[in-house]
Amino acid sequence: MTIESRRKRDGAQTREQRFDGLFATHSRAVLAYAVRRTSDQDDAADVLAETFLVAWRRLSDVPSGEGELMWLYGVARRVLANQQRSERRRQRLAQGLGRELSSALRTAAPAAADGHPVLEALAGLDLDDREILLLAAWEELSAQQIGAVLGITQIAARSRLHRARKRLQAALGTAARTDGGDNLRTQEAL
Amino acid sequence: MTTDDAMTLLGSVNPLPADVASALPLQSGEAELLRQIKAEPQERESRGAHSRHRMPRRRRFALAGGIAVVALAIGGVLGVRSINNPPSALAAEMDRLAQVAASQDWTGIPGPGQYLYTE
Repeated sequence: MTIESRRKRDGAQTREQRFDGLFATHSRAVLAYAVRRTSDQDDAADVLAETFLVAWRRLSDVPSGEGELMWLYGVARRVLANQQRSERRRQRLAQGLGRELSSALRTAAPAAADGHPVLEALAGLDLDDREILLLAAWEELSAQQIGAVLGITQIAARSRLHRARKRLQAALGTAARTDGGDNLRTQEAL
Repeated sequence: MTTDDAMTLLGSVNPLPADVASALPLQSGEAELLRQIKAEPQERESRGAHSRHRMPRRRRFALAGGIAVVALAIGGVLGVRSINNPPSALAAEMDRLAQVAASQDWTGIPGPGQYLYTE
């Protein structure tokens, strides 16, 4: 084996090891991101598959450290948007995972909170507000991390988040006035 | 209700909290997915580096067009002329005299102060 071919083999192994590490560390976070935004487990599994397929093909573009997950969230966000636009499933790499996920979520995930006033208030906001609020509340990202996912500055992310929070608060206030606040009080008691 | 309360309330309806997601028994599905992804063609390091520095197609066409326009402009200013098509009457006359001189008998190269006469 020549030095050149050995170097190529070692490089391929390093890349594969890096990808394995990336998948092991972040696949659940990306899957959870997708599950929270889709109603179909197969779609969520597809988002995971496509996101990591992009990462596999563009591994040299994936930043290291904390940036890895933000980069993956950014890709997943675009994959999800494309999936919702086209309303078709292009990848079928994750069929097995989709089935497994459906079964696992039936037993492990909390009961769906459909019809909850906060979700109804959220549904009344525009897409950008919704996404930034969910990144903060469900992915528990900081303004800097949200900026990295959305491709905007930390200051812009903080400003948008502030306005979105205000709008959610206002929407909840409207919902509370509409139904007498019973639902909200019940939830707060919980 | 404050904005913090609103965010707390939103957090409480997270359909898949991170700790639940990390505990889901998905090992076999994930292993299968990982294997399938790695069976897909991977970007080559060198090609990736090359493609990042490669100019976009539209810009390449624009540049080629620009170069063609500049070349035409230079040709227009300097003139693109063939050696077989003398551009002026003077050159045409000199060409004609050279043909005549060439057809005469050899008389040697004229020295300083000497002239070559033609018929």
